[in-house]
Amino acid sequence: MLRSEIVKTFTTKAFPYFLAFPMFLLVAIIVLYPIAATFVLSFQDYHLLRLADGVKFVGLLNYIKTFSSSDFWSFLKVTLEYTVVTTACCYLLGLISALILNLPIKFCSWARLAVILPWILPPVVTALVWLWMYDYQFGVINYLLSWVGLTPQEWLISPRIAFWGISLTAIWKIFPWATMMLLAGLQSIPLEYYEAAMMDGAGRLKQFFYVTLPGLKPVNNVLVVLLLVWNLRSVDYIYVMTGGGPARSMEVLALNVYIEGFVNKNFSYASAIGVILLLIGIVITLSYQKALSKQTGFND
Amino acid sequence: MLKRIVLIGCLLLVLVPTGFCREKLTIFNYQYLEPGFAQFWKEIETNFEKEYNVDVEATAVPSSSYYDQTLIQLVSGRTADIYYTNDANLGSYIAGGYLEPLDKLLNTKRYNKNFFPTQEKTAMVNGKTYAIMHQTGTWALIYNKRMLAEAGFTRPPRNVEELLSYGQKLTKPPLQYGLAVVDSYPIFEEIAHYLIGFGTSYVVDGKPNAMDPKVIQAHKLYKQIYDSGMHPKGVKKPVLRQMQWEGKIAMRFDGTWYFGMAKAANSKFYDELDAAPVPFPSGLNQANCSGLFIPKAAQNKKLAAKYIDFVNRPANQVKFLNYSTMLPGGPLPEKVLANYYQQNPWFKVFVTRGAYGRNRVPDGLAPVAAQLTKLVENCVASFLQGNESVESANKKLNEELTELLKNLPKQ
Repeated sequence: MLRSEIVKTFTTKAFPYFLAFPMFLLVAIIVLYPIAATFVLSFQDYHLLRLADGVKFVGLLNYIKTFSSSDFWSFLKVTLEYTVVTTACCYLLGLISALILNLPIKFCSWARLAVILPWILPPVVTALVWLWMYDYQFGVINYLLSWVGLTPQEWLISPRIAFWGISLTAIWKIFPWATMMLLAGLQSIPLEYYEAAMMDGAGRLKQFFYVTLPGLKPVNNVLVVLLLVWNLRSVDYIYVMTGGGPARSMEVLALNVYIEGFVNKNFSYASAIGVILLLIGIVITLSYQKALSKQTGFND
Repeated sequence: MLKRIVLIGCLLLVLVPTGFCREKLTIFNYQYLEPGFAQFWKEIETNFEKEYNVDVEATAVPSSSYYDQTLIQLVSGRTADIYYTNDANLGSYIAGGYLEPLDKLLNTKRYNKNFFPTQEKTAMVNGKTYAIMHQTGTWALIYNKRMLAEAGFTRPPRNVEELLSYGQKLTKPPLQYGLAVVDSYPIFEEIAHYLIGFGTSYVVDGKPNAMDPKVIQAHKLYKQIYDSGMHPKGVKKPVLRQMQWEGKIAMRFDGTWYFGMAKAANSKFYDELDAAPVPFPSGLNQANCSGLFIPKAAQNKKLAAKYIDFVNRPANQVKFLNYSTMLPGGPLPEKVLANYYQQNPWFKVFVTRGAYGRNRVPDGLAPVAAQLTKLVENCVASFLQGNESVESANKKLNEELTELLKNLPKQ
């Protein structure tokens, strides 16, 4: 009797945890351990060229050094600007194209395929192609500009213009994914809601604000958070196209972590910046989730 | 049972000589992917395998990620037996304690005594030799003879004023540019011509020197050329090289290896290229060296040492010259040099300028060469493409150099 009770308790309560344990162990090894190790490293003095001196505990010194560096605040500013601009543009462009693709138009499936094509290309290939398109001397964009009588632009040479050049590349690459997510969300909104709104006298604009947007809330919850996180830690387009230039104007925090670690060989300082970047990501994500929880959806 | 033993014995007798149990030497060297150099290393590999009855396994990655990968391997302790390196990175590897001193593996006294002075200066630290620098590079002004002649110039420029006036006259954008500089990676290598040419450096006697009037003058000249229109803006260095051997750039600074690259690219304009001393007031020019080292974590150090000796045999040094168009680290027979000059007249300039060569990394800063490079690149980019004035950018660089010098690792 006792034995059967033990077996019953194990199978109903403990067994699910037993099955989930290998995955938890994997996540702990490949996700939690590196984060914890980075956190610990950020409180030490670990420099590849001074390993012979030993690894010392230095407390908050790396964080103090980070916050007192004027460069850090410039990198933070460009990181936040880049994140907000690319996320907002990816979402808006994704929403507009999803609304268009949701219309019952001819060749709709071909249009959807065309929109998804940028998403299929690897990020580095995308960056290299756009790098050549933006080339001041030989790029096709400046060629077209001069063909129509406009002045060629220093796309990736001028700090002011390079921001928009690189952001445009990232937006072009990422918005198709936002399109597909939002299109799936649009197609899950019941048509009866639009019919009911029409019967109540709501025009297209009111239908959009009172039916479509609330209906997309479950998708927005996931989509915007993912876009924010991806763009916050984005390095590939910037690294390939300008290496953080021109004149460090596009050196985002994620790239700064790489430079401090692998160029300057100061792993503990790089870890401190990495921890700060992680905390920024958590704050942005939580703030967004809190703001979204105040909005009402259909099931609220 | 006896039959089985005899069969296994026969198999072993066959397999052992055919290399089943041969020693293996592993090499990590990005030059396996570089035109000119690749042929040299392949030939060395084949001949070394034959002579020593060993297997050589070489791995290569593009040069842009080579030094990052090398550092990762050295720190992890999972290394190949032999690595190639330039002098700019060697210092940091020595300071990190990753390299095996070669004095017990090779007759390093012979190399230190007979090779160019860069061997001792770069590879010897605290009386121990950590690498053998088998190749030496000097830089010069590489120009297109035909383009200069067509513009009415009978000789290359000999001073700054002539350099600028030649550059302006030879510029006919977008098909032809007079004088190219580098405005993205690797800026430090390029601006070093100007600094060394003005007889100055970023650090002198262990003190930051970025506010020296000569450094400011060098930076202002660089900016002047960048803004003048005689330089194709935004073009990366590999493309600038290609543009020159395609007859689109009249003058650039580069090393002997450039002629090897142009030849390997079957340049139609190869015969129009020539070299002249760098036309700056000090009469000095940039020089560097590169070589091979054995990491502490290497599995096969003795074989690796034999490989280094093999590469530096006089016959192989001549081969190196022929394939790469670079100066080997050690002296060449006069007859060989004379024959080479006859076929490649431009080479004489590089050999004679060797005596005036200076490394771009100031003395004592070899361990932090990568960080210094980054600081200089940031400084130059800020006044070329950013809104900073040269004086303001140099002031910031001086502060950063002070910080860098404070944290120099002990060697």
